[in-house]
Amino acid sequence: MRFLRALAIFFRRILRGGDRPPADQATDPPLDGCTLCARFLNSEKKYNKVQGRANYKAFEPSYDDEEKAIVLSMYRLDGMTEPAIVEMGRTVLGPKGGRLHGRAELPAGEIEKLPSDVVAAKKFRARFDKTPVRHVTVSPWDDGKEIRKLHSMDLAKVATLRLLD
Amino acid sequence: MMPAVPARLLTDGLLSPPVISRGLSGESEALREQSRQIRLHLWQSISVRDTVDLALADLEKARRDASSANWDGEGARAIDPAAYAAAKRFILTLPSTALAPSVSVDRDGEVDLAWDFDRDQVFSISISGTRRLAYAGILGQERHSGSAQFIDEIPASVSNLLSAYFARRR
Repeated sequence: MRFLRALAIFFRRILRGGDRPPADQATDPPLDGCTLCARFLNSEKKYNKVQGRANYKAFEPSYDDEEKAIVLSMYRLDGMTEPAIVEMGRTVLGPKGGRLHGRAELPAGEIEKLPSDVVAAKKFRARFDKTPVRHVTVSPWDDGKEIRKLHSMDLAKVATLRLLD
Repeated sequence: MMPAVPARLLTDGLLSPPVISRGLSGESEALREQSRQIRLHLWQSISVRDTVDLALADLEKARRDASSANWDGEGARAIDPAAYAAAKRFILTLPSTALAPSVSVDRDGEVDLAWDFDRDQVFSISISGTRRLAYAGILGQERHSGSAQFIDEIPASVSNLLSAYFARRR
C-alpha cells in the first residue's frame, strides 16, 4: 500500500513537470520535537466537529506489509503551505480513500512523549521516511488491541483538528 | 426475537444488563415469561427503542461502508460477518438505560462501538468474529483497558465500566 502511494506521488510529480523533488522535500530537516505531523481524515467518524477535536479513530494503527508490524502512518507538515498540505492529503488518501475532511495534527515531540505521562516510559518513536515523501512511521504498536486503542485515545487527546472549510 | 430480561436496579440507578435464564422447571418458565413482559415493556419505551434503533442503524451503515476490502483506501479489511453478528447481538443486550454508541468498523474488520463524549470521557469496545471484546477508555484521570469474552451476556467487567461512564453523563 505504501509502495502504491509512493508511485502515485511519483507520477503526480512527473505530470507537474519533471521529477525534480519539491523544494521542501529536498531540504527536509530531520524530525525534531516541534515538527508537525498529521493524520489525514476521510470520515466524520474520526472527529467531532461540534467539539472541534479528533477522536481515537483518527489514530488507529494498522498492519504494514513492508514493516511487518502494526504501525501508524503520519505525514510531516513543516514548511508546507496550506494548499500544499491539502494536495498532499488528497494524494495520500488516493482515489479510493474518500473525501478529505481535514487532518489531525501533533508535534512529533508529543507523539514520542506519549504515553510516558501514564506509564513512566516512552513508547513511540516517530521515524521520518523518504518514501513516500514526508511519510512518518510511528511505532511500535506491539501491545494487545485494547492497549493500542488506549494509546490511540492518548494521541487523540493532545491532537489538534484542522477541518477544510 | 428479543432475549428475556429481568430488570434489576443497581445502586447507581442504572438497570442491569440482561441475565439469560437456562432453567427448565415450571418456575423458571414463569420467571422467563415475566422477564419477557418486563423487556417488552421496556422495549416499548421510546428511549430504549431509540437507543437500540440508532445503534442498529449505525451498524447497518458501517456494514455497507465497509463491505469490501480497502474500503478506507488504506488497505482495511472488509467487515467480518461474524463480528457484525456479534455486534448486533451485543447491541441488543445493552443495559436498558445505555446511551447509543457510535458504530464503525476497525481496519482489521472488527466492529467498534464507541461512547465518545469528550476528550476525557471516551469508551470503546471492539468486537471480533470470535466474540472477543477488546475495550479501552479514559474517564477523567482514570484509564481502563482489558479484554473479555461475550457469550450471551455482556461481561460484568464491561457493564460495570459502561455504568460508570454513563453515570457521569446523567
